[in-house]
Amino acid sequence: MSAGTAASGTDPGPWRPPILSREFHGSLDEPLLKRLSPVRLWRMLRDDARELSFGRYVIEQFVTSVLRVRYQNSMLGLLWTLLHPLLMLTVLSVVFSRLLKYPMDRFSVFLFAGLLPWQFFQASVGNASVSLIRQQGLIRKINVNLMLFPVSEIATAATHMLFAFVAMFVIMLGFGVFGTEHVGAQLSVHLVLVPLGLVLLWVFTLGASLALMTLTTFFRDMEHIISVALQAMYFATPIFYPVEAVAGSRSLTLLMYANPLRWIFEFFHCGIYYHRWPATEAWIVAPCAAVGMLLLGYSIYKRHEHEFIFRL
Amino acid sequence: MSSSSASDLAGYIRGQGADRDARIEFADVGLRFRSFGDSLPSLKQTVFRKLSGQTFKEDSYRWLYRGLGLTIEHGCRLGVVGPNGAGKSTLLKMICGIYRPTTGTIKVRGQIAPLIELGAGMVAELSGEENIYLNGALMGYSRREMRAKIERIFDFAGLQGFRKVPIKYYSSGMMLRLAFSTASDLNPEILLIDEIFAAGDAEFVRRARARMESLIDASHIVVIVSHQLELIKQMCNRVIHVENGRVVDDGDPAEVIARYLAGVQAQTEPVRLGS
Repeated sequence: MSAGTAASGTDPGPWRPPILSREFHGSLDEPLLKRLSPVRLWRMLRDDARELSFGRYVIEQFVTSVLRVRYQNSMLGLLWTLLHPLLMLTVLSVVFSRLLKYPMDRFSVFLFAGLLPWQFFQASVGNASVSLIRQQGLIRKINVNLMLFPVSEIATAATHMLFAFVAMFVIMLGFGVFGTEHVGAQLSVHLVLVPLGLVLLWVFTLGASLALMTLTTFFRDMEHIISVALQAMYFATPIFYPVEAVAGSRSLTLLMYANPLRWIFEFFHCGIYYHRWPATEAWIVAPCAAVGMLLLGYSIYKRHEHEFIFRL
Repeated sequence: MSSSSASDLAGYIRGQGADRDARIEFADVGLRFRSFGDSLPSLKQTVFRKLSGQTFKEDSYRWLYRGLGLTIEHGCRLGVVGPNGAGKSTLLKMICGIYRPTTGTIKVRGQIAPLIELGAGMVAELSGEENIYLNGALMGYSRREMRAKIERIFDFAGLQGFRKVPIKYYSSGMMLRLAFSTASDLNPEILLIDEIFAAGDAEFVRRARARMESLIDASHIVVIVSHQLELIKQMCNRVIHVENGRVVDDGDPAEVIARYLAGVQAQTEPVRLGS
C-alpha cells in the first residue's frame, strides 16, 4: 500500500524511485519562446500543469503551514478568517451606506459579493509577486518548479476566501430567512454563477500574478508600484458602488468597460445580489480576459524562467 | 501507485531508459553570471538604457564555466577539489538543475539526492514534524509516504522529545541533526555531497558518518565537494581539480591531490610565515 513497504527483500528500506533522465540545454543555444508559437506554449503549459500536480503536496503543505502559522497563536484561531471579513464588511457597509447616497437596498449583500473576491485578488497578487524573493533561500538550494510558489500563495488566499465566502453566505442567508431584509441574502438558481466567477477569477489572478512576479523579481521597485496600483484598481472596480452609479460620467463608464475585473465581478454580483444572468458582453469579455491574462502572464514568466536564479 | 507519482515531482521523466546505469554528462557547458556591481539594475536604469539604445555590455557578464566537458560514469565516486570560489558548489547545482547552463548540454540519468545545503526550506515557526512533511513534499514525497519515514528520522536525530516543538526553539545543533536526518533518509542513485561532515556532537557525528558511508556505498554515483582532502582520498576513486571554471586536473585521487597540494604550496611559498 504505502510506498515505503513496497520494496521486496528482507529489508524494506527507503523506497527506490525509478531511474529518471533529464537534460538541460544552454539558454543561449536554445532561446526559449523567441518565437511564440501556440503549440509550444500549449505544450509547456501542459508540462507545467503536470509538474504542479506532482507538486501538490508542496502546495498543500504550504497552505496548511501558512494557515497554521497565522492562526496558531491567536485565541480565536481559524475563526478569524470569518470574523475579519465580517467586521470589515460591517465597517464598510456602515460607512458607505451613510457616505455614498445610492438608493440600494441590501447594500451589505452587494458589498459582500464584491469585497471577498477583491480581497482574494489583492492578497494573491500582492503575495505572489514577491513570492520568489521571499523564498529565494529555498530556490537557490533546491530544484523545484518555480510556479509552485505563486500558486501556493494563490491557493492560500483561495482557501481563505472559500472559508469566508461560505460562512458569510450562510450568515447572510440566515438574516434573509429571519426577515431582516436589508442585510439578508437569498437562494436562487443564479448562485451557479459564483463557482463560474471563481474559476474565471482564479485563472485571471494566476496570469496577473505570474506577470507581476516576473517583473517584481527583476525590478524590485515594482513591489511599491503594485501596492499603489492595487489601491487604484480597488476604486476602479465596482465593489462598493454599482456600475450604474457611474453611468453619468463618460470617462468612468469607459473605465468600467476597460477593467477586466469588472466583468468577472459581474458574475458574483449577478449570482449573489441581482439574481439575474449577466449580459452577453460579460459572457464574452470575462473568459477572454481571464484566458488572455493567463497566456500573457505565463509567456512572460516562461521566457525568464531560468533567469530568476541569477536575479535573486 | 503513489510511489510513481512521487518520483517525478518535477515531472522530469523523459522516458524510462532501458539502461539503468546512472550517468552524468556535461558537453561543452558554459555558465554565465551577470555581474551587477553592488545591486540589481533598477527599473529606472533599465528604462533609460532601453530608451538610449544601450544594452548591457558583454563585460558585465562573468563566465564561471566555459567549454566544460565532463562525464561521470556509473560507479564513480568523484571528488571535486579546488580553491574557494572555483565553482565547485556551482557544479553540483548545475547537476541538480538549479543553475541551467548558458551554453552546451547537461544530461543526467538517475534520481538525485542533494546533500548540498542542509535545512533549506525549514520554516522556523513550524514544528519539527511539520518541517519534515514540508521537506518531504519538496522532495516529492506525499504525507503518507513521509509518515512511514518520520519515526526513523526522529529516532536517528535523537529528537523524539521535540517533535511538536517549533524549530525556532531548537538549538543550532539540533537543527542540523534534524536536517541531516531528513535529508539522508533516502536511497538515491546519484548522491551529491557538499561539505556536511561535521554536524552536532561527537556521538551524532559518528552515526552521521556511518550513515553517510552506507549511503555512499548504496549510491551509483557520488560527487563530493570538500576541502578535507584526506576524506576525499579515502572515499573517492576519481578526483577532479576545478579552477577558473575549468577542469585542470582529472584522475587518480592520490595523484591529483598530490599535484593540487604541490600547486598550492608553490603559490604560497614566498609568503611563508615564521622564518
